[in-house]
Amino acid sequence: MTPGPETRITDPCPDPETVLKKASTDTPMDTELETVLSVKDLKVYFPVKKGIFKKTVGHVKAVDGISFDLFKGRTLGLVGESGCGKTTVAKALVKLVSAHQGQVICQGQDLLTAPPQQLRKLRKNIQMIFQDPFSSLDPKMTVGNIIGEAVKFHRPGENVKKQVQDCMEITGLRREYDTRYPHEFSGGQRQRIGIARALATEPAIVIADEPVSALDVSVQARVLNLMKSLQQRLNIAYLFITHDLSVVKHISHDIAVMYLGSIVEIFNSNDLKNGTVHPYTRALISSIPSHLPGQKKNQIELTGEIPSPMDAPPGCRFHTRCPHVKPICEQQRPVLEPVKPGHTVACHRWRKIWLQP
Amino acid sequence: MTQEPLLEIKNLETVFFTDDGIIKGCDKVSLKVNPGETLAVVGESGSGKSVTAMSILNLIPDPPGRVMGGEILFQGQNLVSLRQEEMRKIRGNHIAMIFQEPMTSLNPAMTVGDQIAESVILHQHLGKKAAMKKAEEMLQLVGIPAPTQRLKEYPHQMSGGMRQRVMIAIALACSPSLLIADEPTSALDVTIQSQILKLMKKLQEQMGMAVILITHDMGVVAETADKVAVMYCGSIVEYGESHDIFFNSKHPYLQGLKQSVLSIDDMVDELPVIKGNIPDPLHLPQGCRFEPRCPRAMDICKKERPRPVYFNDKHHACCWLHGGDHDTRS
Repeated sequence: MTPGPETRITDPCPDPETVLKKASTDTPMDTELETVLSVKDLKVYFPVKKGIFKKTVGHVKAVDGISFDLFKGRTLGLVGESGCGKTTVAKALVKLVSAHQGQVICQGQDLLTAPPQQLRKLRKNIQMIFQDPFSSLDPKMTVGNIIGEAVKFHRPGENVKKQVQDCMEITGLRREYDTRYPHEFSGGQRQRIGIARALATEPAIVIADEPVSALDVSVQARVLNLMKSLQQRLNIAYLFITHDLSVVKHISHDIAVMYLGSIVEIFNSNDLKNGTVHPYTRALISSIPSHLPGQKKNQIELTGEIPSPMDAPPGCRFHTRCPHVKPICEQQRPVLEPVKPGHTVACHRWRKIWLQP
Repeated sequence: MTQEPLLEIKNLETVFFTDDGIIKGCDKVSLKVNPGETLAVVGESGSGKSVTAMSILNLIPDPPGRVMGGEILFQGQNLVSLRQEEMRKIRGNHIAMIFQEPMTSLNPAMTVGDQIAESVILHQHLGKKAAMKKAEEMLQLVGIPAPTQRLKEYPHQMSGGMRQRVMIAIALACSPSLLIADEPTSALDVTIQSQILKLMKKLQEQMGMAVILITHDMGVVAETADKVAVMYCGSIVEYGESHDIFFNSKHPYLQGLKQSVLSIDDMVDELPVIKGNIPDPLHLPQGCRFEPRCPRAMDICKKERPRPVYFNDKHHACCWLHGGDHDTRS
């Protein structure tokens, strides 16, 4: 189930619903949202091979059936611990890894089954910003060529130099720097080059995989401000992947939390502090270090570590670490259920948990 | 209350000789660590945090680097003047270090048990059997389940959080009186980070050791530190008790740094930022190093480097805004 406008059910359970309605005044009107990318039941499995004949003995279920929508001019934050499949989702969306199953629909076409020629056109719409600004730029190419490559390919017949310089200007780089090489720039500036390169094709969707994780806090804030203002000007949809919940709160409209290959909760970012339901989301939030010394918080201690995706636990993936576990969790895999408009959760016990603050 | 400090650094200067010129990694750094307390050293990358830590342990690669001046007094002994053999007796025994990358700082070709036992055999002159017993105890202490089996495993068989626990076990095996932790949780996920920080705090209380925690994460500082030193371009710009640093900060750099830390509690449209970038270490500004980026810079800041101004016996900042030497001002 997705949080898309058509699937938002209004009356799942009357009791928490009434409580929630009061709190959800700031949820934007569904009618304003225009879907630009729709992911349905995406699965990415990596085969595990053994022996001299490289027989497939099992699968690492990196992404195991996730669905979400991206809306024009809005940001969906995708958070989770390392190894939960966030980056694999990003790579599958731009076909850097091939998906096992599912649909990624952009402009009415399924990216995963589109013929190569069609795909090239669709790629103009989806661009990616990578995590490490030091290894994602070719050191032997000038900045002008790095950004210009995409312009030449996707927008033939246009004045490449002018387009490149325009892209540099909106990301806060000086126009005349297009003849320089990546090593002449600092980390924050390099990430701007990465952003300029992504914007050069005038995409509708930008997938940003941990774009600020490698940067210092003071630089991080600047790159986030830039990404926000570009979104407002160019109406881009972002899929913002990060492990840092405080970063995601500042850039995202909606937040999806992943655990071991599946989405466990999708909610409006205003609900991050007090409105989440899934025990994993709550534990993640409580483990963020407090802002000031001496602040008391009731921390939910998670024991153990994230299980291997090769033999993921049956039933709810989180049951091995969940403080609210019940026998049903070990047998049946929960599906995303609507809590309120724009908020879905995959947990058997969310109605009980919700009532506990 | 006059307490003998465990570690006292006085005017430490660590210099790197590069082809392009001389870079001062540590520029007159002075700090004190008392037994049992946690000192957090914060700053952006390139501010000299790790160089300070490496200098304490005499691990600065020479060439290109060298400690050119100052004293590092550990239990009254000056570490700077020690010969390598003497230093080796202290390193790993009385002062231990945890490195940032749990993936790369363990030996992939040795079992976890052997790696822990190695330092015990070397420093405490235990036999192999007794050392392995100690290693098992240490794994238990850092919360690794089934320590007897884990002893025989290799680092690649463990997750990031487990490896960091092994690193802690190695560091603590000889019951050091000072532990230097260089970004111990930066490579870990938040849920594992909070487990590791809790573990370090618990062990610190149990063993009574002092910790120098190097980090760029103000949240980690808020949770763990007793005292905080803020570094910028190789020098300490503000130093004080954690409470003063968070609620009564004086230096504009620290104030800016704290503002640009994101919090999930509040929501702003545009995050406040510190303008500009860290200056090139080869061409540092003549006066205050922060002056080109400082929103409150004055004329004097361009000309002269500020000296520490004390607000109480511990809390001090190097900034002309708070007065300082009156002779040079007039």
